[in-house]
Amino acid sequence: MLNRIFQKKNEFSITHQFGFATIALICFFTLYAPITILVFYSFNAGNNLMLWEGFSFHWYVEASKNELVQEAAIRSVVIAVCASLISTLVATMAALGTTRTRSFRGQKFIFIMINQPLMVPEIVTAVALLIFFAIIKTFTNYYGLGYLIVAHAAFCVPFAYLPIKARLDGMDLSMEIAASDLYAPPLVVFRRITLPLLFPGIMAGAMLAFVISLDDVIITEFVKTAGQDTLPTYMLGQLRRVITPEINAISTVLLAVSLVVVTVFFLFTRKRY
Amino acid sequence: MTKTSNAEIAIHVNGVGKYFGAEPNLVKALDDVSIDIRRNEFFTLLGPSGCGKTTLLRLIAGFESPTFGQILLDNKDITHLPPYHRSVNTVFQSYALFPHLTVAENISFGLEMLKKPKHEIAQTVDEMLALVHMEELKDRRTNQISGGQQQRVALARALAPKPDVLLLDEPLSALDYKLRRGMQIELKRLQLETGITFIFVTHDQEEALTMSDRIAVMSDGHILQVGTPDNIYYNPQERFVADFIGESNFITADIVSVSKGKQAKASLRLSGSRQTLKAVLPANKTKDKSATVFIRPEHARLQTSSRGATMTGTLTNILFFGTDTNFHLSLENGDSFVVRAQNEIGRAFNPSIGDTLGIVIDEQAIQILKD
Repeated sequence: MLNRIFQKKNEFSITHQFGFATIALICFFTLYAPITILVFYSFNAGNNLMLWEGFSFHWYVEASKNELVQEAAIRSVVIAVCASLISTLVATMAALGTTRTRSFRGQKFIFIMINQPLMVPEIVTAVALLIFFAIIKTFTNYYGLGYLIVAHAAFCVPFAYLPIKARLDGMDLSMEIAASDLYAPPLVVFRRITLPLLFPGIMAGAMLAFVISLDDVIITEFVKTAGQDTLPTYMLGQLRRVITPEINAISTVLLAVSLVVVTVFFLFTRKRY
Repeated sequence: MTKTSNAEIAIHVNGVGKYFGAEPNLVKALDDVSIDIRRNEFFTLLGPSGCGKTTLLRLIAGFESPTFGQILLDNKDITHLPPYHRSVNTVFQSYALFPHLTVAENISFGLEMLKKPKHEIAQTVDEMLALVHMEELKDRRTNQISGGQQQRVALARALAPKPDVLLLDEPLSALDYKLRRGMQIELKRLQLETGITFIFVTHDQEEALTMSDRIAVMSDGHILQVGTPDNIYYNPQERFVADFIGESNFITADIVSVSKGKQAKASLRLSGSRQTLKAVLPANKTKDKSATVFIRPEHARLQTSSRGATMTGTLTNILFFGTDTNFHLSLENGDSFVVRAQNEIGRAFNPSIGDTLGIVIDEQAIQILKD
């Protein structure tokens, strides 16, 4: 009887609607076909982007030997690590400030302020930062990586903030209350209870921020000074010259790194405690 | 009631109130509540949800501050002390065990916070594990054990620091019936073995009656009556208390005459009927003309004839409960009345619906409520 009811219910399932499967297939195809082709041609032996001349790791070796690629890769990772550390720290404090307090006036407004980078067009932020940093540069004479790190940290904050806040929202105050009932003063409650329970959220936030920073082009392109290419801006620069499957190889590596980090992110968001 | 000296009182609640919100939407969760809870007592706060019993518990624990009034623990004012400075521990309704710690680590948490020496902590944790029969599961995470086991860990965790007072916020409500009965006995045993004052919050009157030394019945932010379980059951002062605890019959009656003397007795007549009853009149009741009379269903008997009966009624329904049967009757004035009779094998008395039966009630079982 119960089975019958559920079978009946299946007939109303959206998957049985006319055309649903077709549309889904088209969507997945447009999403993944180009990436598949890109990965496929990264193993091309010849130096043509479209013409298959046999399987080889040639372009991976080429890319890894290229000093410009090496420098850009290191720079990308340094920026991403620093930016995700800073943004996660800021995001954790922001998430605690917007959930572990009595509700106050303007809380919504602060929430919107924190998530501003998600809504303001990136190109606007990029131009704004370009001008802002130009002023600072003339005053300080500092031209280092700091600008890129600060810029990346700033736009990574909402990405780190959202998973941390989601976890805090899912944690009711009862553990913290129980700990204070068991003679733990507020700071100890935070260190022994809140922080360990929040840790998976913090890690998830950091992972997300890392990936977002790693593949940023627009803001980096505007903020960087000469010789400060990251992997994505290096690749953009290459497009204006000769294109070889080297760019496929670099893209594939970036894709692999992102996939690993995002997988770790999902593992952390799914972790209960 | 006997006067208790200050030394015997663990918790002294003095005119405490807790209001939430502001004027148009002001909620008086607690309004001018005063009680004394004695040392080593199993004290129960009983009432329906929203009566303020959990609020009172949270005030004693220190999770909230009262709007006015004073709370003393062993004669020391703790009204505004934070929870981590009170020798009071709580067993939460949701248990609130720390999911990132093991069973043993949960139990040792409070002891570590009190900075007890390592060997003492280890010893106490072992004692507590033994007390709640959880030795074998001490290295498990708290989400790897059953609800009943979590319950026992929560108890052990709260008992480990040996608090002056243990607060229990409906700790059995998430357990199924069998487990709950087992835990009731367990709790009573733990209270006797540890000698700690237990303050137990529940809406389950049966739970309150079986476990408590004394019960405070609460409603609408007030305490209506404080007494031993049998005192509350046999001598409820107000209709709410009588209605909330056990099954009750309420009959409206007119006061016909009042005898003189220290314990004034009233003759009552059932409204709209000629049947009369006699009962002790409470002190403040003398001026009223009508009264609500309260009789427990098991304190009345049925007989086929109306001779010698206190009242008569027409049988409207028979409900079988296994150990007992409830006979529902309609009285002459239209009030309904329930008689509960214990079932015996081979009972000769087998009335059928529509019969007019005599109801016999002892005079001591008839009470006039204060209202």
